[in-house]
Amino acid sequence: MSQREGQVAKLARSIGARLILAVNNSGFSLILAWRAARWTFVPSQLWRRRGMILRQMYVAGVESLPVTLIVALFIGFLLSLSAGVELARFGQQAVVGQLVAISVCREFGPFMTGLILAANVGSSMAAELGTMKVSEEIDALEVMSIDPARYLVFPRLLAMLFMTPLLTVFSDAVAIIGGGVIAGTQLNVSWAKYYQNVLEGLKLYHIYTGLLKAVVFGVTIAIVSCSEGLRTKGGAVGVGKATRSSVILCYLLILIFGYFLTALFYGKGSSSL
Amino acid sequence: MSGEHPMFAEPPEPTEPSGPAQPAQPAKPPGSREPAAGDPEDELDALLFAPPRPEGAARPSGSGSVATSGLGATSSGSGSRPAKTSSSGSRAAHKASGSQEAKTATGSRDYSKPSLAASRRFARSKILVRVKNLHKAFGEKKILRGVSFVVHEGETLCIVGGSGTGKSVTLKHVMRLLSPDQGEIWLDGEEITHARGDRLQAARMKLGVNFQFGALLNWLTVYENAALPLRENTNMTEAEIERRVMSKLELLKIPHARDLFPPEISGGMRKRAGLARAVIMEETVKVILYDEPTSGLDPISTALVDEMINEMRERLGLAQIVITHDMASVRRTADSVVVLHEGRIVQYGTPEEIEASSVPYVQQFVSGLTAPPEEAKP
Repeated sequence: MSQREGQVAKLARSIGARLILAVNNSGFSLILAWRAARWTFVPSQLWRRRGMILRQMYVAGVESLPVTLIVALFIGFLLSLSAGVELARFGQQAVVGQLVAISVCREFGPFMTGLILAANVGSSMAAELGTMKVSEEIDALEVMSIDPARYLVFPRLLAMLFMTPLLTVFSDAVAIIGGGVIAGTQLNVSWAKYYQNVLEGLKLYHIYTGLLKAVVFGVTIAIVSCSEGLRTKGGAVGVGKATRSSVILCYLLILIFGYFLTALFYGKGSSSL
Repeated sequence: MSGEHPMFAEPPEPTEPSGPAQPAQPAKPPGSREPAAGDPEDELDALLFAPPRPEGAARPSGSGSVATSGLGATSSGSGSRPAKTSSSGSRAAHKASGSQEAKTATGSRDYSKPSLAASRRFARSKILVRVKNLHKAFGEKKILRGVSFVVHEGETLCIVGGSGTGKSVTLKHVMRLLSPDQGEIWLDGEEITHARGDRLQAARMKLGVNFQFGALLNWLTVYENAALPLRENTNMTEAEIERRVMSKLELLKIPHARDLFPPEISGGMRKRAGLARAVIMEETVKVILYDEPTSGLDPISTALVDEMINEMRERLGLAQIVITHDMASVRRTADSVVVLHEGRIVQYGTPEEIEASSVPYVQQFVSGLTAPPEEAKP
């Protein structure tokens, strides 16, 4: 075998190994999702884990609220200003409310909430479970016949399932208000006119498709972060690696799933148009 | 306490083997598989109970490289327990049998198999853990290369060896956190090598594990950590749970730490809290596994932990496997010792036999030398 063929073979092996690893990791995450999600339908488990579920809801919701609202406010400012200036050239600045409301509710609201939660909550989930893994606490749970998916992942999954859409509602509202502030101060559009335009333009399906996206993003963040944490190897370095890869994976998946959901709801041939 | 569970019942007096040279064959327990004629397990039984081979003797045919012994050996009653608790007397008896064997043992002896003294002591007790010809590799690196041992009811087996010799990997196989590439793992008469799901969960209920650093959950108090298996796996009321947990915390002399969180207590207390959690399921736990229970402790705390290990055996009559590289602890706690080196057992015997070993690596390990003694010959 020539040197070139040897290099090609090495490259092919490397690609193959990465593909196998990716499939393996995806399988692990899907199985984990199933093992955790099935407890959602067991009332006794919901009651037994209420403390941990509420704690995770507090971490995901209340502790993430300030940063989410600040980001939402500035997204509203930014959208209103950049779109309003262009619309003003055609004397159409009055429709800025509609533009801000639709783009925030459909895309930006769930998208930025997802990114904030991935960085804020997902990373901490991966680090927490990763630390538990390297300090043998996960092994201890398994040996005690306590399923980590039920004990650790299920409360986190449920918390993210509820708190991501809730945070999205708040961030949508704050972004629309922020857009209104800019419309009033920079574009000479009165608040009443802006508000009326928002109500005229915004349809119910803009809101529920956005909230559905938020649910998907929340579940994705919980599962990806927990599975990265549970797969941690190699001490402190491993925990750092798991945390970083969980954030990167969450960002990528939020973008990819976001696109496909938009295509599903608003793409060619979709019924909601 | 002792009336609550058969585990606490006083065992019948152990029956001595009929003769020192020919230990009696133990009876099979109810429900265990009867070996057919020519069964490999019979051959392995023979390997365990056979006296050491004289110099130049051929290996038993069919034994291959399998170093497992005592397969299928069981007790005449599940409650029977050798009189390990009478420490000084049995230690003296041990020493005597060990030295007798040392006279008969020759250069041809396979040290990876249990010595006669180690085999005899618990021959009439039920085998609770049986590891047979375990092989494990991580990628290209072979970690275990045919590890075999048995642990009987009431026996404390110490697995010793330098860092990276496969001690913890062996323990993780017994917990079935790892699956072997080759070999078998048996727990309380049931093969769990490839057990999954409910079967694996049921098997794990028989294990209590004391992890190296306690592995306590940081957001739970010591009390809540110890109560966790009961809350998750039983329908006990809170009052029953409290009674059980407090009895274990008192047994381990840490009742005052009940409301403290793991970061607020010392390393020794953390290990004791971990042990309280390990034995809390007293109805089901039959084997306790300790992963380096004395690492990082001062001599007094080490002695306390050793005392705790002996107390677990004496009061609860459990089988115990202790991973350690502290020879002082081995002397205080072990009934039998397995010395691992490069994934293989280099000697399997009583603590006295290990101390008086002629195997260079064992001598080096016991004496804490930087190189094996040159004059030593196995």
